[in-house]
Amino acid sequence: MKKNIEEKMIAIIFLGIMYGICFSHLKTHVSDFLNVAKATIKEGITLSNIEKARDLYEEKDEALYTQQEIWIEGYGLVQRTLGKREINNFELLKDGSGQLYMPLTKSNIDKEAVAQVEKLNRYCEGKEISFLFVQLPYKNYDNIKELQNYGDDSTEEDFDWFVEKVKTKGISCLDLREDEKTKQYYRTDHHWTVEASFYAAKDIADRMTGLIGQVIDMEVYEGEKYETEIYKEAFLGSYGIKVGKYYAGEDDFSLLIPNFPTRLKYEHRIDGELILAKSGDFEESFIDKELLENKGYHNKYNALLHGGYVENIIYNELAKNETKVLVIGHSYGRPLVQYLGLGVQELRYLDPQDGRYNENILEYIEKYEPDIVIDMYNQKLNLG
Amino acid sequence: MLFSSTIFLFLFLPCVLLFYYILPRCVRNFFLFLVSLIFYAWGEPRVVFILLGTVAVNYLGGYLVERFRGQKRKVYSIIFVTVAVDLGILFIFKYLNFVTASLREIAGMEIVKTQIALPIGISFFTFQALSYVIDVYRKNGKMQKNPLNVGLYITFFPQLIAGPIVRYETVADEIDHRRENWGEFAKGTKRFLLGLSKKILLANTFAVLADRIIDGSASTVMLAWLGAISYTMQIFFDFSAYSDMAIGLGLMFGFHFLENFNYPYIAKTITEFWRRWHISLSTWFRDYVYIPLGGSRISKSRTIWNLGTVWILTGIWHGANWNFVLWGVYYFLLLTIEKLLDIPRKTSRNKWKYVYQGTTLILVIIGWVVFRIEDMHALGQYLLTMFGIRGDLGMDETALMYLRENWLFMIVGLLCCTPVMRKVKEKAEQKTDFYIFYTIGSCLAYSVLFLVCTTYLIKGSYNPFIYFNF
Repeated sequence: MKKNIEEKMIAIIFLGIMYGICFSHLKTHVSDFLNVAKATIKEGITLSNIEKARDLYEEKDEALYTQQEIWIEGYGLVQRTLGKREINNFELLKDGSGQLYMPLTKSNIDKEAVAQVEKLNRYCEGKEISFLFVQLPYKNYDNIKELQNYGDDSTEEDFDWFVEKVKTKGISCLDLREDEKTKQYYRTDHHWTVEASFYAAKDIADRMTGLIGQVIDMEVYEGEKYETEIYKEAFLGSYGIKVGKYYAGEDDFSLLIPNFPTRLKYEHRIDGELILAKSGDFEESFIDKELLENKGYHNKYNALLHGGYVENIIYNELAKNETKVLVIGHSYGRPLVQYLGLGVQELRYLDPQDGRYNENILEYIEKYEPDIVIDMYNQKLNLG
Repeated sequence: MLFSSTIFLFLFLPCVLLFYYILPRCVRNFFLFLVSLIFYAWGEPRVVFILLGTVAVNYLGGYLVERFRGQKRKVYSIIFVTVAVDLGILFIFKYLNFVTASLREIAGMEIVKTQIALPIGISFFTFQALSYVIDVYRKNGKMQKNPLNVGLYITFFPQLIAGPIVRYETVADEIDHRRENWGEFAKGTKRFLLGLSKKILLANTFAVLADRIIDGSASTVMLAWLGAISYTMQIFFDFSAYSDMAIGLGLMFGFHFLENFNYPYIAKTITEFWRRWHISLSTWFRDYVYIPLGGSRISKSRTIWNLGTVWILTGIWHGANWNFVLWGVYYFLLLTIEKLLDIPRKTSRNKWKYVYQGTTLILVIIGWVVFRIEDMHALGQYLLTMFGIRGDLGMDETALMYLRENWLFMIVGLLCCTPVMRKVKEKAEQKTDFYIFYTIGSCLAYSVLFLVCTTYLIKGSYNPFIYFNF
């Protein structure tokens, strides 16, 4: 008798939770099933189509739950309660200060990528265009004492190798990792902070003045000329969304806004087609205020450069020179070009990652005719 | 489809339970058979026909055994053919690749490499199918006139892909005459949740450690032993969890399956270990192979021969690879030594019993290493590291890191390997006041466990299914 009461109560709770979750998703399950079934019937009912349909349905089912924050937050809360530094089979690590890392055992940096930098440099030399390779910093836990036995991250060593190879070939190279101020990262994201990107822009601009004849307006890189706007605990980055805010915490997200006059135009293009055009001062041109102020939207990094991720064009109408710059790099470039663009007349920024700007870079350079090409990318490019 | 998946927990199971209890009793068996086929076909749409074929062959076998009962030669022929077909299917899909690869490597024979995929659960449902025909012959269960009931027995989804191996005699009566009730349903729910928690929280956690250490080639004694112990825990919690879930689900539908694990790691001897571990398999081999061969009622040498046969078969049942054969031989040797030296009796009452109990556990852990590592060279290297012949003897920072990260799972895991929690529950039931707190605490604990398991299922990506060899 006694045994039964406990078991019956557990059964009631189990059925309540199970059916609660089941019924709350039933409409979506039915609609997904019907869509997948219709598509399968259209393609033909074969065993391999049935297997594809099953895989697709399972993906939709997984997405249904992983999009619900409550489960991710619950998982993160459990991990925090257990005091875990590693999450989900070492997918993410957390150090003593709360900084999250994603171990990368293989960085995909190889000889071919070095050869491409060399090819790009030679092409620019042939066109009498200056070239600068910039080694960006990357968030890794190499020197983090409490994470020493949590697995190897080879990115630093790979970057060291890459920089050495580039320098041996006589290519102008700026290693930003030597400036500690550029090695500031969001706790919950893989990106560097806006402040770090500002210092990086300053370092690049400084190096550019030595390389190109035209003058870069270095006054725009004086820190006192900016005001800091802080959005407190607003940013849950790419690492943080995997584990929720209870485990990761939330980052403050700050912007450095010029307190001097700016008049800019920004265009985002995909396959040459204009997707977005903004103009006005720094904030009006570059910053998506709506995203920043939206408390339900976590990835504030996307507010920078309006999340532009393919071909980005910046015109500085108050430029004191006619310098044209081409920057090639991944998403670390987004905040950086906002500041670098303030010192030149025109800046174009291409993100060559898969699914972004994948056209021939050499053809782009030929058409655009920049004064300098800044390559910040360690992996393979499309050079024809 | 796995039990530890959102599709099973929040779509398949709720729908099956709902329709099962809505439908009239006369169609419930057919319904369960149908959903069991859907369950299996979800993961193996190409192979479900083999399952149906097995059902057809064994239904026919059982029918013919009953039809020609009394005609010994005919009955033996029928059983022989049925067993041959069942084992033939098992051989082709599970062992043919292994045999041809071995002949190529060892004998240098030029044989075409086959690409036959191993259907999940084939070892389980083949043994169940054999059990049907043999139990019908032995009159341990009535022949099923309705082939769908034979189909239900062989394909019933709770035990289809990961056991336990349910003997026909266990459920023969319940197929036709079971009566579901709320009390048993509730018991089944609790058992299912216990299994789910063991699988998701304990087994999967230990799986991470075991895979990282063993596949990462441990370089120190400490790390190697941690890897071995982690795998020892992983396989116990994974396997026993599936049995718990199967038993729990069976109860929800009115079936009573036998226990498959009985705290095997507290066994005092190897002999006792095999009375506590995967009981359904060891009793299957005992009743269908060992005893028919003569068991231990014959000469000592013949008994040892029979033991050897059973243990090699047990080994290869687990997987088509030489390490499984080695594992089977390993246990054959240990059990033979225990038998010849009469160790269970000699150690039962003296001061050496705890020493031998500890030795038993170490031997079991070593056995699991042999079971886990399929590559013979890697196995040798790992064992040499465990015993300090190859690895460093000092403190291993990585091992300490794993222990720090998983301290709670280690403690809970160790506790769950012993009957401590069961004893707490028994004591609670004796004292009314305490029982109230125990009941509330238990309900809260199971609720939290279910929710935590759900977060792990949705968020965690590490959910290995280790029975693909079986």
